[in-house]
Amino acid sequence: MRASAMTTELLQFTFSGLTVGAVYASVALGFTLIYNASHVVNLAQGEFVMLGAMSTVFLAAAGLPLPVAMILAVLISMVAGLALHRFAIAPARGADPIALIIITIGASIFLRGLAQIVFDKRFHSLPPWFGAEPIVIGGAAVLPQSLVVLAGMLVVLVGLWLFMTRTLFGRAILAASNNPMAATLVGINVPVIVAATFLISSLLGAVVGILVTPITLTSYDAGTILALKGFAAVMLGGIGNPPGAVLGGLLLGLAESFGAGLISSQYKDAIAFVILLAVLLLRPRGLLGGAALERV
Amino acid sequence: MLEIDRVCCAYGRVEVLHSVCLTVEQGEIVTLLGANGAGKTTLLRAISGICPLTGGEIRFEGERLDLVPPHRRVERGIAQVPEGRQIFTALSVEDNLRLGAWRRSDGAAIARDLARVFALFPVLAERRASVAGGLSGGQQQMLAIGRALMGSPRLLLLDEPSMGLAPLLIDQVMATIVELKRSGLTILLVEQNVSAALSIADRGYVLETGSIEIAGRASDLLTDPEVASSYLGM
Repeated sequence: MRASAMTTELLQFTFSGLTVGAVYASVALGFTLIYNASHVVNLAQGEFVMLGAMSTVFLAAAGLPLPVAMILAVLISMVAGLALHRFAIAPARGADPIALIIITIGASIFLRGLAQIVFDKRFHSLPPWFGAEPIVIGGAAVLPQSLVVLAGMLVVLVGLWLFMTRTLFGRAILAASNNPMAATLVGINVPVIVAATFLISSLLGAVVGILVTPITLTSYDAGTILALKGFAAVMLGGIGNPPGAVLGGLLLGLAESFGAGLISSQYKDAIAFVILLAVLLLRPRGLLGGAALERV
Repeated sequence: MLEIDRVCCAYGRVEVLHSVCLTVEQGEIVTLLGANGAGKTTLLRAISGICPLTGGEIRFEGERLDLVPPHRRVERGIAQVPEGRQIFTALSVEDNLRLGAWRRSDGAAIARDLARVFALFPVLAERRASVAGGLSGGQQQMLAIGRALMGSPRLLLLDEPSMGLAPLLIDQVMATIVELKRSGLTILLVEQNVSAALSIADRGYVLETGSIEIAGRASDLLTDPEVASSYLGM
């Protein structure tokens, strides 16, 4: 009896860990896409998640049907992504990485401020897609929305993977990150490719933000902590490595969930960062890192 | 076909090309010789737009080339095989070749050119699904040439294709270049392997610290005492 309760509990932690981890993974993947194409660490990635979620909330409140609000919200986030590249990153072409990171921090503060004015400072939620009644799986209670988040992430991951490996455009993105000069020589417009990665990353962020809001709530400043966690996930998995980003995100989510459940929920964030520090001390290139050093 | 007219190039404040003039006529193999650091690679980079000009102009088939953005020069008919091959190591052999045709949309002609590259370099066909970074040096050179050919160029710029290759492979690469010339391609070949380059070229230029010092027919350069003493080790 005692053992079975324990199993149920562990299963419970696993589900909630994977759900949060999927969000971190998506932010981490957004980081990775942009980083690979341009070596920019985009710390405004969390704001794309927030913009997707907050825009949906407010468009729906304005009377639009929820699906329409969601699509518009994704578009809004993508416009923000393109604008970030066009007006903040592209003009600073050739600046060193630290300057570019600081630009993205500035952009993130700007977007947060804008959201505070355009939206408001309160927490908001969205209705869950399939009700709030938990489904019991192996004794663990799982919100249907958690399954939506996981399924949504799976669809996004598979879609992104197919796009990157099965289309010539996807391979051009890989080529531009692999060797920008050679990419230019074959006629690839590298700045356009970099802009495309901002577009894809903002889409990725907005989608996951919309999916997860019924569980986690959202607010104008929800992006900050997500960017930090996503960055931690990237470092955990190995910077510049898409599978590493996903693995790092999921592991971070699980670590938080188990830490909160087994030790104390007060230390939830601390546990994640302690694990990150440990990995960085023992494996500075991250779990799946290896190619990282050649990009320095 | 290609006219380099008093071209100057600089990295930062250091000028590395001083008013260089050079022409390539349709159907020729022209070789550009010179020691390390003479500016050979910089000149090729100027032609493909990677290195912007600080003076002079470049004309291709009568039109200003230096005003065309770098990524649009392939479609004008100029492809470059860069120094050190610069293949996309993380992608497959076939992806490398297909990206060579990135600017083209004529599917049937692309398929034909792919078949042609595979016929020219059968080993690339065998390894079409392999990751390009895993190829040997010689195979990577073939891939770099194949990728440039996929752009369907009229002028091919080759930057030290013999670098790091065994003598037997160097002969193969040179034979391939001659074969490409016969198929109608015009070639500008940068080489440090002076005897190999002059043996297949029609004309040659010698670049020394950013200026053209000697120019002439390849057969004359081969017997030129100055070229012989400086570059052929005689």
